[in-house]
Amino acid sequence: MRDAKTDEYTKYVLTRVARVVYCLVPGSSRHTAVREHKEKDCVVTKREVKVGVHRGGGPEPGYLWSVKYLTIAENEARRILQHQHQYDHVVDQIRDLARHTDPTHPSTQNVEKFADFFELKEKGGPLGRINLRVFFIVQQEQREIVLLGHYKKEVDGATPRAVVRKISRRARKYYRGDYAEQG
Amino acid sequence: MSADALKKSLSQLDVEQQRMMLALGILLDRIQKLSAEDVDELFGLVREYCEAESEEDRVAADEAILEILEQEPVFVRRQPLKTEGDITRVPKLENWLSWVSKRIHDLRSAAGLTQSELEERTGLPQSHISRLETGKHSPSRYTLEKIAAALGVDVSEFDPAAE
Repeated sequence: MRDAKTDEYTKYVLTRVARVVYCLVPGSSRHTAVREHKEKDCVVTKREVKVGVHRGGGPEPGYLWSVKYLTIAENEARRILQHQHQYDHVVDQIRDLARHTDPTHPSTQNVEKFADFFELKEKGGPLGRINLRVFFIVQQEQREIVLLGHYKKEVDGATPRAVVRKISRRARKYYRGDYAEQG
Repeated sequence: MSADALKKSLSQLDVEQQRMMLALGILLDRIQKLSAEDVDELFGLVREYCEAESEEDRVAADEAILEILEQEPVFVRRQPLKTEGDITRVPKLENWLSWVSKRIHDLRSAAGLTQSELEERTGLPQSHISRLETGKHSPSRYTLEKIAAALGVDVSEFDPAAE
């Protein structure tokens, strides 16, 4: 027997359908974008993310940590930070993190522990009205900061639970080696 | 139902309804291909969507759901970290750095503080303050708030974007 909740979920799934099918309709802009993205990435053979310090790896001179990022996190940053000076300002904050002995407790950045990852909050200055969140994890043994995602907070208050779930999922997948390393 | 019967049933639907049927099939197919972990996550997110209290929460759940359904390939890349002398910045960021670095220097000097004294008051390393005053680093809002508090001024003195 269907209850109100089931009806609500069904209604939701149906509203999602049009968007999903649009991605699959040949000739639609979304379909083209998805195809181009896949074709670009298909040239790389999937392999596990290496664990441990490798030759040529490790922090660069002047830095205590090296920085890696998920391509999905970069896409988010590019979508939110539409001007190059905003993007560069955020890269500056990441460079700053990589100079700290403990990037989870930097004296110069607003960083908080959030579920099983860390959240850097930044706003104002070159960002103007953008209230940005940068999510990352720290791999102590590899001396790596891994950027998992970016989020533009629309109103004051807590980060939406769905964002926390999304970033936690990415962290789990990263730790498990589900994401192939590129370049 | 035979293929002919199915074809006949489908032909009675209008284009939008046919698309909807196709989409439902694709959606089911995609959900069946997901790992058990992702299916749990998907339904958890659907719950988040239905129980969302604000538009922001709803949009966030929507995007997270799409990420699972689309299963786009994700890769890990290394971010090159240049040394400060090798960093080239766009003019707009250069202008900001030039303005804010001078502002920090001027307001610190006006307060009669050395960089070391400002370090004591803010907890920011003196080397960092020096890099800010020479325009080598774009200061975070957190840093500017600390400096403003130490100098007894409003943060808007350093950041016109501050409310």
